[in-house]
Amino acid sequence: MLIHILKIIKNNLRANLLLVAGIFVIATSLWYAVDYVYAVAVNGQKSLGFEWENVYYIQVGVLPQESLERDTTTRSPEMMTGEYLEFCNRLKRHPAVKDLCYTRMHFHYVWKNGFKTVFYDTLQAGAYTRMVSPGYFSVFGVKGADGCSPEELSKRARPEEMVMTDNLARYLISGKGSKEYTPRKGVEMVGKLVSFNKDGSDSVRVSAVCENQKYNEYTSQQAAFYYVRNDGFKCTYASIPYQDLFIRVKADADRPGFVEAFRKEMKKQLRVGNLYLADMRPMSEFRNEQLSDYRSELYTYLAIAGFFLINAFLAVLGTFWFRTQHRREELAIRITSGATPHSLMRLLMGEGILLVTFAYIPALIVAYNLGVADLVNTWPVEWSLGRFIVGGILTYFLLLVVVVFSIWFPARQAMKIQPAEALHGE
Amino acid sequence: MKKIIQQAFFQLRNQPLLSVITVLGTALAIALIMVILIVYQAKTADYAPEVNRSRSLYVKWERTVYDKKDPNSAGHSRPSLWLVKEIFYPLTTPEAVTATYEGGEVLVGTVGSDEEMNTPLMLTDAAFWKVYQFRFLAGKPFTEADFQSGMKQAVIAKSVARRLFGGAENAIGKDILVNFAAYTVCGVVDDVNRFCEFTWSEVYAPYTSNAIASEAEAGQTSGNNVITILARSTDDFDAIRNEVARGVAQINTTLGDMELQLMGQPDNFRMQLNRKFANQYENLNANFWKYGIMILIILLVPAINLSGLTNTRMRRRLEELGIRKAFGATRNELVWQVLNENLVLTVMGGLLGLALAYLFLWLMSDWLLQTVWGATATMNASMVSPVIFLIAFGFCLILNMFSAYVPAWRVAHTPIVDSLNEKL
Repeated sequence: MLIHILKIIKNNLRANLLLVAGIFVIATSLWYAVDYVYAVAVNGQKSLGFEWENVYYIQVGVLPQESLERDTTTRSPEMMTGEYLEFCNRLKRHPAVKDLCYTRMHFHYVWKNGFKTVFYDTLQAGAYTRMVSPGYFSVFGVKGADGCSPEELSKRARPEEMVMTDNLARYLISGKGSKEYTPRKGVEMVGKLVSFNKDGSDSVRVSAVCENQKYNEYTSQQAAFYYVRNDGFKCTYASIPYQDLFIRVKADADRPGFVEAFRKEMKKQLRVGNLYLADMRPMSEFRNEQLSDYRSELYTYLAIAGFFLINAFLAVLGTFWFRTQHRREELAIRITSGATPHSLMRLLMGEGILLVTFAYIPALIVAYNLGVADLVNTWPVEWSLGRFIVGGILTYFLLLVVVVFSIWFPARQAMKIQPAEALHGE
Repeated sequence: MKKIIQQAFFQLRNQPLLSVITVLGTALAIALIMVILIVYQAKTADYAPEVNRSRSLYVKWERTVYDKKDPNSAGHSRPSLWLVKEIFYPLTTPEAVTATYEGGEVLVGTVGSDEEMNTPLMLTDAAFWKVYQFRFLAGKPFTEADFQSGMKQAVIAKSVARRLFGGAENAIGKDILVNFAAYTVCGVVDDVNRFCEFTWSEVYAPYTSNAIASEAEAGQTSGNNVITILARSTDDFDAIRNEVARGVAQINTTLGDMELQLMGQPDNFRMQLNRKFANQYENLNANFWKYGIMILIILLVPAINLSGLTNTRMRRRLEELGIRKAFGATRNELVWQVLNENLVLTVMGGLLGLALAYLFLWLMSDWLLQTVWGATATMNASMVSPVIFLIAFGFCLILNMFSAYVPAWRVAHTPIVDSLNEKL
């Protein structure tokens, strides 16, 4: 059967080569898109490291100089910090608010970063530096690396100390990257002193290690450390806009219309000194904004994959339609000499599948080289043989489905050939 | 012409599956291309309030090298008001120059009412209303005199007027509180499309009314302004760029070890689209190439595949074409006939594709109509224009040429005897 089909293919070599070339281009492009979608899907399985549901951002406004309501008496930084803390306390007293924190240089789903190198022993590593108040971990539901609850982690996070992510701690204690094996655990860093200078000065104690953190759903887990501070970070009116306030709301209170009701209720209460409640937005809004770029890219790849699949359908359908008509007489003779309609169908399908396989082998070679040369999107998930195999099988399967589907139409026609009619010219 | 259309419809009935697939294949390719181009058109065409995009130049970012000896020690930012006043306001070639300052989200309310809302605030000068043409539903813009004296006048968008005052007319002369500072509403404008990056806001006020926005400390290059230069015509672009370059050189003599760079700006409208981030100033043309190649692939791949289908259809008609040839039709006539008949199918596909494009844009607006910073624009009139139809027709012609010329040529060159025998 196989040799028979090969002969048939050889007899029509020129047209087949054209088809194989077309499918080769389609297969390569399709593989690229499938590989991207696969990488995104695999990365999606890794945990995010924090929870954004039921968390709201509170923007604290400072009355501008133009406002008539502004109290223009001079204030010391302590007084301004006092106003800020009073603002926080009033928020905290609201029955729907479960926890509260403020941060600097760190805002999930907003491109706001600080980056710093930390030194421990002879090792050094770059990581996001995030300044947070102790409540941060319970507001964003960040668990400890040893599995302790966010609330417990918030208690362990002592002011003027730091909490670091597991991957950073693991690297600093062992010198091994996340892929390499080491028996040592990140939590061994607890109690150690890390430094911001090579000479070991300016050192900070690690008070806890937390779970790994992604920057957002589409990125890999990245190294970060949280410098814990309290007492309102000693803020002034000038620095308050750079300080971000978040609250976690009890799940049963977080119903539609919560923001409007909350703002109306708290409007008067939150006019503290020259501070006011300027804006309140759920984290989901920021999340949607930041993820839209990534989603667009994903949709674009899906659209490209769809487009190439449809074109593979067109190419195979066109060729085979032409071919079954061209070979009407041949197929009719097959029927007269005992072929059943089903064996005709099998013959045509076999021809199509074989052609796709011929086209797919060079496509796979190109794909493998693209991967090895780092020309695929490798940043969320590393290039590996496993990834290549899975992507390759998925692409092949998609192509097969399309080919079977597109040969089905002309093959059905071939099955209906009446030998007497097709052969009356002979 | 009528005959050709009749012929095409006859074929359509005679070979429904093949024809439908041809039409769908064409439609899909045209739809993809048109989605890309319609969005591009909506982002770049002249329409209110950005009616002068085609003769405007833009400066969105500045680069300051801190120490000339180390050219890599640089900061990137929006230009400061000081730069606007030193370099851009004094320009003599352009018709007008305006600077806008993004005030971010502000809290807007009315005196003595609990109603409040968060809106974006744009702080600007009086020339803004000349460079950009807003549709005023009531009142008028703040004047040059208002601007110079720092009057607290504000122009608000329709949506804000409706929310706070119930309508455009009611808002004029009333006071609003912008972050608890009182402003008088002097005008209400129609809501602005989100694709209008330079004008989209909901409250507009003179920057002189705000202490922070009107700070212009000498030597301070980084700030929060975007500058639009309205030229009298595109012919003046080079003269304006030269004048700006002279201004930058002049400024640099006062900056000591620092050096101000505009990284090739002022940009025309199309170019500034590629400059999303402050430190982006290399390979700005890469985007054009990317889109060009994408469109070429979207055209080529289906064209090759469609030509397979055309081939099949032609084969069925070999006999007929052979008879035509026997009765004296020339090769050119035959090629022309096939191309024309095929064009009817392609145009049907094109029309369907265009409809699909609009359907996609409407259904998937979150994805397709996304603006630079993740917001979604609405569809607007610029997306439906004769230009779009012409372009779509142009692509149909190209696709038709690609997919039908080779089969047509082959059929026309088949000897009469062979075609009557249906041998190809």
